[in-house]
Amino acid sequence: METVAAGRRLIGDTLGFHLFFVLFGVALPLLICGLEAYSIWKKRPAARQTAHEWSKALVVLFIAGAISGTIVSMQFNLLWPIFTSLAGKVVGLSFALEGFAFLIEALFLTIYMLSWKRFTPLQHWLCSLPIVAGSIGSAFAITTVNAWMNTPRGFRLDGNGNPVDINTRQAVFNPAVGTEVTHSILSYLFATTLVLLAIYAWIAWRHNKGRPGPRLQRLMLGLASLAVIFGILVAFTGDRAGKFLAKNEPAKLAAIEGLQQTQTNAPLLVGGTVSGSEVKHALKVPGLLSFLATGHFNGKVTGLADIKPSDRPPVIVHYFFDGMVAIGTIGILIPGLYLVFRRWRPRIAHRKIMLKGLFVCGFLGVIGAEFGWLVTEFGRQPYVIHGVLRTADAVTQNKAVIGLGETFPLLYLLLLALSIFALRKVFHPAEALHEPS
Amino acid sequence: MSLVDASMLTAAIFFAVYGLACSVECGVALSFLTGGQNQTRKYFTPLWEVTNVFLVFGFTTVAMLFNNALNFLSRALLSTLVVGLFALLARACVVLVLFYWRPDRLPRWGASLFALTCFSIPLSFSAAGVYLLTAEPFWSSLVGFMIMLSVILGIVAIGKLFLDGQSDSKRKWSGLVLYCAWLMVLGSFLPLAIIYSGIGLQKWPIVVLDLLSIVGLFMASLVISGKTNFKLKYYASFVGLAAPLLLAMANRPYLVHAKIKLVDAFGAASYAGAFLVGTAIIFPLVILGLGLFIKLIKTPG
Repeated sequence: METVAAGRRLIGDTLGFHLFFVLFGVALPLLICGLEAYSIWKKRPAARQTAHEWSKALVVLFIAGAISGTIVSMQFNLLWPIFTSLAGKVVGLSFALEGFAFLIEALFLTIYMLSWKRFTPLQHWLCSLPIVAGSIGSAFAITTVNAWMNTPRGFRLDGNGNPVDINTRQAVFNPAVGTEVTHSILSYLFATTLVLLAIYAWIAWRHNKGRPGPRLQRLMLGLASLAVIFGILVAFTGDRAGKFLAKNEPAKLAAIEGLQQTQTNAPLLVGGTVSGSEVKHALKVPGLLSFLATGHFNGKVTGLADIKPSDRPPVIVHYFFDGMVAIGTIGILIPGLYLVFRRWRPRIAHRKIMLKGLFVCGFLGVIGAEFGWLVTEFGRQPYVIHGVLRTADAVTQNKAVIGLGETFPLLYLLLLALSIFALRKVFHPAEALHEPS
Repeated sequence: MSLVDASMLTAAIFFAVYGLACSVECGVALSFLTGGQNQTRKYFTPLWEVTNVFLVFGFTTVAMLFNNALNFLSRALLSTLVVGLFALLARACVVLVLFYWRPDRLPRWGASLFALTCFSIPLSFSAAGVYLLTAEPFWSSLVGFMIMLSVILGIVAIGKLFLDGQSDSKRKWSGLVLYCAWLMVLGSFLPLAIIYSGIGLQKWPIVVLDLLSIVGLFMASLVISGKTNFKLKYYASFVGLAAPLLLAMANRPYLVHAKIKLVDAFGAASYAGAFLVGTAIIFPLVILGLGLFIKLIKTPG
């Protein structure tokens, strides 16, 4: 059990750390590409300058992400060989596709960064397209693997536990792909937009004493609008994901809500504290869980009592789920309020309290994305491949893993600190205070 | 060539390309240590870290296509490869500090740490490669020692040839001496160690390696005598790419010598063909992109 705990802790730390960079690595290329296209189309040099600033930040984040991605890839193979062996046989093509996409993204990013002043704006913008394709493609490919872990399809196990009758297409395009891929990629866009908005809100608060110049205002307006749009899309895909869980992963949904008995008119629990397998002191909204899960207030939702005790996920996911939903709501409301005030009460829009609120949303966006993945991963326990392979059976038997749990996180923290330090050196968002000459 | 052999070669190619990129980076690290940073400064950029994608791809190829051997490899190689993982993280930290904190002057400790981490990565992966060839840790056999020695010499030689060129007489000689020493080990001492230890590797790839080394030494003699101005760095890169491939071929039919056969380890019959075709399509593009990247780094902006 010691190796299982150490392996889980190590891969958990690594993935948590990697995700911080992934969300920017996926979302920033798309935002930069869009901004550069806008600058060419509308002939706005300021937009091009901003895209250049963001791309400098992208490089630092991409480098740290490439390193942590390399570690993730190797840790999966070395720490979880039984899992990777099984997954490799069935959805190995997705891993390979992720590698291809990553290769394209990395290569074109280097060319893109080295050619800001050597290519024409159009040529340079064309270079950003493979980066976007690579970043979205790699996110898509690796999320199909996670979706397959939640709803494994496209194979059956023979008597020796080996997968046979493999159908790669069915495995890759498993039932969870649609909801999971759209929800995760949109949440990366949402979180990244919130972080960028937070940075510019901080600039406005710090440098302009609440009276940002026109360029900064345009940027904040654009980012707040995008945050609201992405936030609403995340909420919509999240609703679809909830309905999907009710149908395909009832144990996860029951754990998220701490629902004990299978029932109709099931209440949604908001807040509360987890005690064993129950959620206590929560605010109960009658019928809302049934409605969200099935579309009817009298819909039937499976409870934990109908799940074998050895197959029940930990109810602690309730905290992560509530945290994620609360953050998503705040992330839509505060930028939404900013937009409303900016339209009808401009003086309030740039008050300190509003800018502080937007600043806090940046941190919350990243935490929300982390919570989302915690819900997915903890909610699938005790399985690593739902109903097929238990986490305890998937880990390496090499005892060396036990000693690694402490050292890697220290290096991750150091790399994170240095990345932030490097970002402060290269990324100068305060240039948005001035119009380009 | 069977699908299994092609898969093994594909993984070897990715590791070899990564090794080549690592050699140039190690050359930069060495030049920082020996006071040649003015000439090599332009090659020092965090963008080099993206070459890790070749490592990821090499690893993914082995893990996905030879998935039946993963449990065994995890038990055997975790400790060896963890050194490389630590070094990867540490190198990224050092690069960020050196590039963004001290862009004008490099502290001695920083250059030393950069060199240490740069060398630790390929050495860790080479040690894993030695295990595949001999089924023993590298310190347990003469073959292991010889491979590690040739890796060190090869990295330093390729790095020096790439960065010092052949114009500066003092640097030219150090690069040439290292190049010749590397080929001597690769073409003579390593084959002798293989024969002496009797580990039963296939002979023809070792003979080819021997021939490549002899040709390389002959070219070096022509360059030294001034009969040709051929740039040895290209030949050195060619040998650097060919050596891991030939050693992998010599290990056939095994993935881990005398312990796990390639066919037994292979577990991706359903999609290996598609994967290899994809790789064949994308690889020339990647090499083209890498060439453009190096050209852009060398050209003043």
